[in-house]
Order: sequence, then structure tokens, then C-alpha cells
Amino acid sequence: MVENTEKTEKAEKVVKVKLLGPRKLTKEQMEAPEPRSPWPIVLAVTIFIACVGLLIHPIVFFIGVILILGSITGWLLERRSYLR
Amino acid sequence: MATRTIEGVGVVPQRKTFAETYIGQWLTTVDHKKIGIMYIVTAFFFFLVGGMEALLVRTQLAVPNGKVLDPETYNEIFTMHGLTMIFLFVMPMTVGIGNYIVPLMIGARDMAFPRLNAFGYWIVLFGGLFLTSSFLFNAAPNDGWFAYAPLTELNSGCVKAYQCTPGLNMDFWVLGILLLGISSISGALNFVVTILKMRAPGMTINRMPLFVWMTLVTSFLLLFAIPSLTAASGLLLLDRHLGTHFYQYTFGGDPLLWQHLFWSFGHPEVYILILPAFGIISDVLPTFSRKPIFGYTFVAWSGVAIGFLSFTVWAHHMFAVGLPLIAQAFFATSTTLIAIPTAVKMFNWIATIFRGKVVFRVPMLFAIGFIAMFLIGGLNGVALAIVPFDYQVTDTYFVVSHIHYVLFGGSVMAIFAGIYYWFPKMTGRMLGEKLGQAQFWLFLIGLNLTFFPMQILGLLGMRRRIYTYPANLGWNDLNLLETVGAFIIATGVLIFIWNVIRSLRSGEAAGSDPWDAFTLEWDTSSPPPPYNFETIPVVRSRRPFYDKKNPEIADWKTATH
Repeated sequence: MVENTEKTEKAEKVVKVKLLGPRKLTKEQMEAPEPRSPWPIVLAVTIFIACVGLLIHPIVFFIGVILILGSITGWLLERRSYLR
Repeated sequence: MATRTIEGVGVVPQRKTFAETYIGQWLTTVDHKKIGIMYIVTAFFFFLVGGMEALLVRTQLAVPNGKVLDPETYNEIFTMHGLTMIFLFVMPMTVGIGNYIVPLMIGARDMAFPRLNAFGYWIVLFGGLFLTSSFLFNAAPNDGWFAYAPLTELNSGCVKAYQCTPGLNMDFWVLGILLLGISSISGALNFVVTILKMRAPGMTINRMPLFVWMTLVTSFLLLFAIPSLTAASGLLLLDRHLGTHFYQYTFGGDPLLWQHLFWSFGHPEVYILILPAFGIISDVLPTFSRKPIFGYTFVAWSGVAIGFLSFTVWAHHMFAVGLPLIAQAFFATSTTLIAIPTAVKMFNWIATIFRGKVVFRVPMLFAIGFIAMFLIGGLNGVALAIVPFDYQVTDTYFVVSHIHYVLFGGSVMAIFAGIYYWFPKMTGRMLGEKLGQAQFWLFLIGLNLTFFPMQILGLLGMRRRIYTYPANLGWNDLNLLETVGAFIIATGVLIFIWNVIRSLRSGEAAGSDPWDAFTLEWDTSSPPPPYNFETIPVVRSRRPFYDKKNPEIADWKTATH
């Protein structure tokens, strides 16, 4: 019974969070980068794949190029998570 | 499951994302301090790799007619030693120290482009792995770190196989260098913008710490020098795989084009490797001499002068190719000229120590060792600027000695001065003093035993890059001595590793300002919080933290800068 009450309270809190939406941000926060981003390492890996492809097979190279374009797109479209 | 507190709501259970795990935090971080540490650790790893390559070379040459390595492997090992130490150790190490320290020194919260910063690091790592993995394919670069054409060509134009490089070896070189060039450009851009645009209020250009000054100059050098290397490498790749003939004399190309393009990168590169070292020394010496740097303006602007002049001296690497007399005269003069701003720095460093209350802690020992060893390397360099002398010793061990006194006696000694100096800031722990002293003396003795006999061997005519030598040339004892010296240096490196492990486990707590230093990086906790400073400091002189600690005798009350 106690557990059920706790669960209900937690569920209510989650709902409240969703209703609150994103926090208001200062100009500095808006301009600040995400403290963490996967795209730098992803882009580096894809460039690495393209270089390996140049050595071993053209198909690997073209896959690398496509991945590079994909990761650049991901980098450019990345938004700060607290804005989502 | 982790919990996250949300304002006005309470604690909400939330699943940890990968980026929030310990490994994820390192893989996705854009914090300049974490990136700096990753640079430093990676560079040190490659220092060990390059060091082992050096030990292999020295073991092969320890005795005449050595058979430790076969000739082909020997070519790969000495080439990779040069590439590794230059592109994967000294450059990333100085960038790593800069990454960590520069934003703190100028009172900024991070670098200007944090994601670009992280990208620069990852490219260095993958570029390094790419280059080093060439050993797995039995195709490591094998034409020397400066990869002279037409030896590097694939096959067309080569009369015999040994006149070119038919395997993947030079492709690894070209692509590896391209990757590392991307990193250098992105890092340099980031430093320039950070230093020019993100300094704390009151920190004018003429109040910047000298390490920041030298990082700025180095970044400009990278921005202007790397494109030349990239162009040279790109043309080589076209020659090798698309049938062009940029470097093939038989088909109307010119092998000297490679040398011009490479050395117009390669000589500024030497200053790219040494200027950050100058910066480290210029900040370590005042702290341990308990007085401001002598002649700040001259030390700073002589760095700028060196930067400009470094683009005017490249052909002194090419005297032996038969340059016109006027070109020889010009490059001999410009090379000699560059000694002037370098000497200005030397005199200022010595004057800083003079009549100071010198504290001989380990960073200071390395800094003084740097001055002495770099002086030898610098004077060798002036000797090599004299054309007739250069004719005699070009491509001999005299040149090998010169570059090692500059890069090991100079850059490496300064890097260790910097590591001992800033390690407490980065980790909150002091490195062991006695172990540090032992490492310093082993380094000093080892490097002189290794590199000084090379000067004599060079004058005796021992060519660089030879695989072995006969026993009757009088070179045996000196070569053996060099090998002993190399192993002494290796012992010093092992002691350093032990020192770091011991300090991280149980080192003395450092506190925020263990050296009673003068600059802003010490005005925050060790290690600093993610945001660096609680409030952005306001700067009123060249020693802002000294002013804060000594308000009655603050510099800004007496000095005009």
C-alpha cells in the first residue's frame, strides 16, 4: 500500500515535470554548447574510416564519406538537450 | 538509475544516458580540462612508443655490424620514431598543456569552440593509431620523417624498386599527416579565437602570461605552415595514385618542389615545437625565482619575431642541393638572424634568475636544464647556418645531435618542467620531489651521453640513417656510449611513470596554490571546477594572483603596464 502511494506520487511528479516544459534560459545558456557532445568523436571516427578506405577499398572510402556527411549534419543539427 | 533534482518539483528518477556514464563522460566531453588531460595522456603514450623505437635504433647501432633489426625494418623504425615524437608527442603534449592551462590563465570558462576542441583531440588519437597501425600491415612509413621525393613515389619513373616506395608505406604517411594536419588547424583556430576574444576583463595583450603569448604565436605558425604540408602531401598522393608527376624529373616534375614545400612547413614546425616550451619556461622561472620575468615585453615580442623569421629560413635545410649563391647568402643570413630574438629570450631568462630567491624545486631544475641544453642545440643551429660548414656535415649525425638537443634538451625538458609545475593543478596531488630530482639527473646525464657523441660522430663522417657500420672506422665506443645514454633516459621515464602512479594513489595534497605562483590558474581549486572560476577575475597587472595575495604591494600600484 505504501509502495503504491510512492509510485503514484512519483508518477505525479513526472507529469508535473512534463507540464513545466523547458526552463527559461539566459542568453549565455542559449549560446553555451552542450556540456557533452558525441559528434566530435563520431566525426573523427568517420574521417578515420574514409582514410582506411583509401588504403583498402573504394567502397569503404565511399561509406566513410557518407558517414562523414551524416556526422557533419548531426553536428550542425545538434541542439542542447534542455531545449528539447 | 540516477536521480535528478528539478527545481520546485523534487527528485525524479531518471535513466542514466551513455553520455552520463564514466566512460561516456570522457568520450563525449567538451570540457577543455578533460580534453587537455586526454591530449596529455595520449601524447605520453606515444612518447613511450617513440621512445621504444629510439631504443631499438640505438640497440641496432650499439655495436658495429649489428643484426638486431633488418635494414627494411630499421628504415621503418627510425622514420616512425621521428614522426611519433614530432607529430604524436611534442605537438599534442604542448596542445594538451595549452588546452588545460590557457583558458585558466586568461580567466575564461572554456575554449571558444569546445566541440571543435574535442574533435581536434579525437583526430589526433585516430591519426596516431592510423600511423602506428601501419606496423600491423608491415607497411610503416620508411623514407624518413621528411619523406623526400622521388623516393616516396609509387613506381613510375623509378628505374629500380629501391628508388621508390611501391607498398602502402608512404600512403600511411600521407594520410596520417593529413589527419594530424586537420587536428592542428582546428586546435590553432580555437587557440587564436580563445586568446583574442575570451580574456578576463583587464587582461590586455601586454598583460597575458608568456605561455599564452607563445601559444598564440605557435597557433599562427600552425595556421600558416600546415597548408604547405597539406599541399605537398596532396600532390604526392596524386603522384602515387592518379598518375600525375609533380615530383618526377623524368616526366617534367621537380623533386625539389617537395623539399621547398616540405621545409616551408618543416622549419616553422621546429618553432611550433619549441615556442610553447619557451612559454612554459617563461612562466616557471619567475615563480621559482620569486620575481617577475625580466624584460616581459622583449620576451613576448621576441617570440613574435621568431615566428615571422621562421618562415624565411626553410632553405637552410637544402644548402646541399645546389641552391644559387644569392639564395644561400639569403638563407644563411636569415638563419643567423633568428638567433638574435632567441638570444634575447636566453638573456632575459638568465636575468630573471639573477639575484632572485631561487627555489630549486623539480620544475625549476628542468627549466634550468632546458636553458643549458637548448643553448647547445641553438649554437649548433647557428653553426649549421654557415654554408661551407653545412656542406661538410649535412645529413650526418651532427644534424641528428642538433635536432635532439633542441627537441629533447629543449622541448622535452620544458614539457617535464610544465608537467611537474601544473600536475598539482590538474590532479590536486604533488608529484614526488625526490623521484622528480632523480628523473631530472637521469635525463640530463642520459641526454648528454646520447646526443653529445653524435656531434663528434657527425664530424667523423657518420651519416644519419645508416643501418650499420663496419668496425674499423673509430665509431664503436661513441656509438656504444650513446646507447648506454638512451637506456639511462629510459630509466628516467620509468621513474616518472612510477612517480605519477604513486602521486595519484597517495601523493601529498597540493592545495590550490602549492608554488605561491603569480598567474590566474592558481586562483581556483585544484583540480578546478567545471566552470573554472566562481566569478570571472578582474586583471590589473601581469601578475593578477600575486596582486590578490599581496594587495599592499600589488604590481598595479607601482607598474605602468
